[in-house]
This record gives sequence, C-alpha cells and structure tokens, in this order.
Amino acid sequence: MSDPGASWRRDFPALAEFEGTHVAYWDSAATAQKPQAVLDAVVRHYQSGVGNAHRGVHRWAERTTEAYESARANVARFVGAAAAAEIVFTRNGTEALNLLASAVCVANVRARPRVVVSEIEHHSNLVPWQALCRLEGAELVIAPVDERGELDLEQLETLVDERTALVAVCHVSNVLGSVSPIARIAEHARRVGAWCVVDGVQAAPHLPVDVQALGCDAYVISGHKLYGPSGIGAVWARSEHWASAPPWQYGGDMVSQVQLQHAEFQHPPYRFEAGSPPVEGAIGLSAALDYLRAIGHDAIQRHEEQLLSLLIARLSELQRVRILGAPNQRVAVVSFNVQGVHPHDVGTVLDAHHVAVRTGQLCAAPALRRFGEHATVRASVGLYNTHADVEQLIAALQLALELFP
Amino acid sequence: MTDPLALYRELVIEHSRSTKYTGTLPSATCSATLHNPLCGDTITVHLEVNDAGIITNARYEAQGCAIAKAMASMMSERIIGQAVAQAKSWSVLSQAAVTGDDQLGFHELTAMIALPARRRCATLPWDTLGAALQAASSAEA
Repeated sequence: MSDPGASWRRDFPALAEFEGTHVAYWDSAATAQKPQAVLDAVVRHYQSGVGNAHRGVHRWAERTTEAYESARANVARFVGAAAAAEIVFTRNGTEALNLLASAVCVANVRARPRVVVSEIEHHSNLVPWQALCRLEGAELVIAPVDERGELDLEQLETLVDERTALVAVCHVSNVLGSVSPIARIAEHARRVGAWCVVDGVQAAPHLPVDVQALGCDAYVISGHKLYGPSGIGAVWARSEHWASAPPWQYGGDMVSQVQLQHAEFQHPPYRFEAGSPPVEGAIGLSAALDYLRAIGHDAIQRHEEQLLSLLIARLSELQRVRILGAPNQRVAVVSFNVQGVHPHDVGTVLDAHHVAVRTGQLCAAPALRRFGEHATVRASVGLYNTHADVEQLIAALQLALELFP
Repeated sequence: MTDPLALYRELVIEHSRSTKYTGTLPSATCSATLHNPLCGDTITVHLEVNDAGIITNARYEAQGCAIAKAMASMMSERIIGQAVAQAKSWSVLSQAAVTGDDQLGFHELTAMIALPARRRCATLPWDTLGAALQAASSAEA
C-alpha cells in the first residue's frame, strides 16, 4: 500500500530519524511540526534584512510591509474571503476569539442578549463568551451533543432564536474530531438574524475552508496548527462586521489621527492590529499555506482519512480501550481511554517508546465530562503520519497494557 | 540512558494500587485538597496530629495518575510518626528532590529526574500535605 505520508514526512526536519529512532508524532492537534519550506521562509526574511511593517520609507520597511500584506492576502485566499481586508492577524486562535468576544460581537450581544455555544467547545471558544455574557448581562445557552458526539441540530435550532446574538461552534471538535454542519447552522442563524462564529482551528489543517460556502460570519484559524510558526493566528469576518466594530487594543498603527486628548482610528483590518505586527509569524504561515496548497487538500484529506480509519480499527482491537464518541464524519483526532490506566501514565509509556500523544483535559474539560472522563489520551493526525506510525502507537499501547495488567 | 519506565516497574504500579492509606480519616485534625489544572487531578490529604505536634495518622483520596497515587501512598508511610515541622520541611524539599537534589534521600522522588514531564504529578501529594499543615497552623494561630 502506498503511503504518501512517508514521503511528505521527509519535508519535516524534526521528524528525521535520529540515531535509529523513529518518532511517531501523534500530537499535531496540539501543534504541528514545521516543513523546511516554513523554516526557510522565516530565515530568508531575517537574512534579507528587516524593517517594521507600515513604518518607514526605506526599502527594508517596504519589503517587510509587502511580505506581511501578501501573507494577509494568502490567508484570505486560503479561507475564501472576499477581500484581504477581511483578515485580521492575532497571536493565536484564542486571541482571535477574544477579539470577536470583546469588540466585534459586543454591540450585537447588547441588542440580543443570548449567546449559544455547544457543550464540546475548546475553552477558547467558551470562556470568552462566558466573560462577554457576564459583562453584558446576556444569557449563555449550551447546545447539547449526543453520545456519538453529534450536535443535536433540532435542539440547536430551537435555542438559536430571534433573541440570539450569535452561535459559536467549532468546525471540528478538538476532542472528538466530529465535524459540525456549519453551512446548516449558519443558514439557520441567518434566518433568525443571529451570527455564526466558527472556531476553525482544528478544521483548517484538514478540510478545505470556504467561508462563502459555509455562510458563516466569522472564522478563526491558528498558524502553528497549520504547520506554521507559533505566535500567529487569524480571523476572518464579514467586512460589515469589521466596519461597525470598535477597536479593542490601542496604540501605534491602529490610529489615523492623534491629538493629545483624542484619536481617530484606522479602517479595518488595521484598526484591530495595534502595535508592531507579527511579521515573522505571518510570513511563516503564508509559506505553510503555500506548502499545503502545493500538496493539495484532496490528497491530504484522502491520506488522513485512511490513516484515521486504520488507527481506529487497530485501537478497536485492543482490550480495555474505549474510544470517545462515534461521529458520522471524524477528522483529525481520536481520543480514547484505557481502562485501569490513567491517561498521563499512558502518555509516559508511549513517550518512552517514542510515541507522542496528548493527554489530559485537552483544554475542553466540559466536553470530557460530557463523556464521563476527567482526562483522556488523544492521537491526532498530521499529513506526515504513516502506517508505520499507527503500528508504533499500537505496539506502545500494548506495552502499556502489559505494564498495567 | 536510564529506562524512564524503571520507576513504574519498581515502585509506582505496586504503590499506586495499595489501599493501605486511602480513604477518609474521621479523626483528622486537618485536611487539604489540591488540584492540578493541567491534567484535572485532585488529591485530598487528611492528617491526625496530636497535641505534641506529631502526625499520628494519615490518609489520602486521589483522583489521578499512578504516579500521584503512588507518591501519596509512600508519603503517608513516611510521615506517620513524624513531627509537623519535619513533614513541613519535607514538603518544601520535595520540589528540589524531583529535580534530582538528593538531600531528602527519598528515592521515589529523585527518580523523577527521568520523567521531567511528570514532576508535578509527584509533588502534588507533597504540596497537598504542606497545604494541610499550613491550614492546621493558621487554625491554631
């Protein structure tokens, strides 16, 4: 059986065998390894001399500005935005969701005091909405999922009503890998006049993203999970939402005119990017998107689907292993618990056998509680994972089972 | 390189399954509960301290990994019969012990040098002990 992961893996220097040790990296949902193309782009940026973006008339500043803005255009193309100005760069996905919850969505929540989230959201798509609702005296309503991990759509559509400002859901769950039917949720939201905010952090590395087809109002991605550097995230929102939103951080670059007692602010996206921008991160992210585009989303998706099915089939053969949820469509992650062995102990035994998984609460404590667990083990797929990685994970798990009879 | 799982084979698995010191302690004079937000683990330590300041009995309740449970069990064994001041000092020194500082001579803690990602699991029971003793002295004061 051909294994494209084995050849893509060679693009990632961190995954090269070292002293005969093959590391099976199953933690890309936490952060992905970086291809050489990303490292080269970042090094090239510094080697050719930097200026600050949007500041100065010298050639280095100009080149930096151009690189930063072309990265914005690249992100816009990646998510299917109507214009580059609809993309705002942030530090990460969490900061992007905080920008939405503390500026862009505030007036809407004041007018319609109800926010709906699902019960399996990452803390970053839950806690900012808790804070906004507390501040504005709005109601935070939780949409349930069933045993498989699927959103109860009928109930969600009852909860998202004319009083609702917005519904915030993940495109792909970081715990279950379930795929939310965003197009349907967004269509219902639009019908009742609510916004649909999508945490696309776990989806973007695995599924093609087209915000026009999804019909949502805002979509968040994270650079380091997309094989880019850490310290860069981005949020797309409809231009009319940006246009009516107040700034959320103040200082350099986000202003158009400044008096001692008063300032006027830039148009979007600059109004939302105070201070020197994360140029290195944007350049690295842009290189990562080029890398993904060169391979092609279809090829990546085919490979990852096949690997995930193989992994689930092999896990299901093991005694004492229980997989969380059974969604109709699962991408990116599978979480499981081993009866009689705490997830952290599983993680340590796996690490001793050069297998990296995530263990613990996965920044989604309520989601785990929903499935009766305090902690779990999560294996998440990257394009560089291989059939051999599956076998290495299963072999290490068998050793964990033997160690804890 | 040392086998990072040696500690499991030698101590952790056996002690994590011991029920000798698990449960509540109706005669407890002080208790404390600490939580590790990273993994969601929770440990409660119950102590019975007599008028002379000696720990006469100890129990723990743990929702956690094998390392945290095993360390709680071995800690209970070590502290029963010790003076409060001694146990307090061990609680403080446990932080350095898991990075390899052998002042205490507690092998189970110094062995954590092989498992740096799990040091917090090993110190959680000792921190909880410190919190319980702190609670006891503030109640007296």
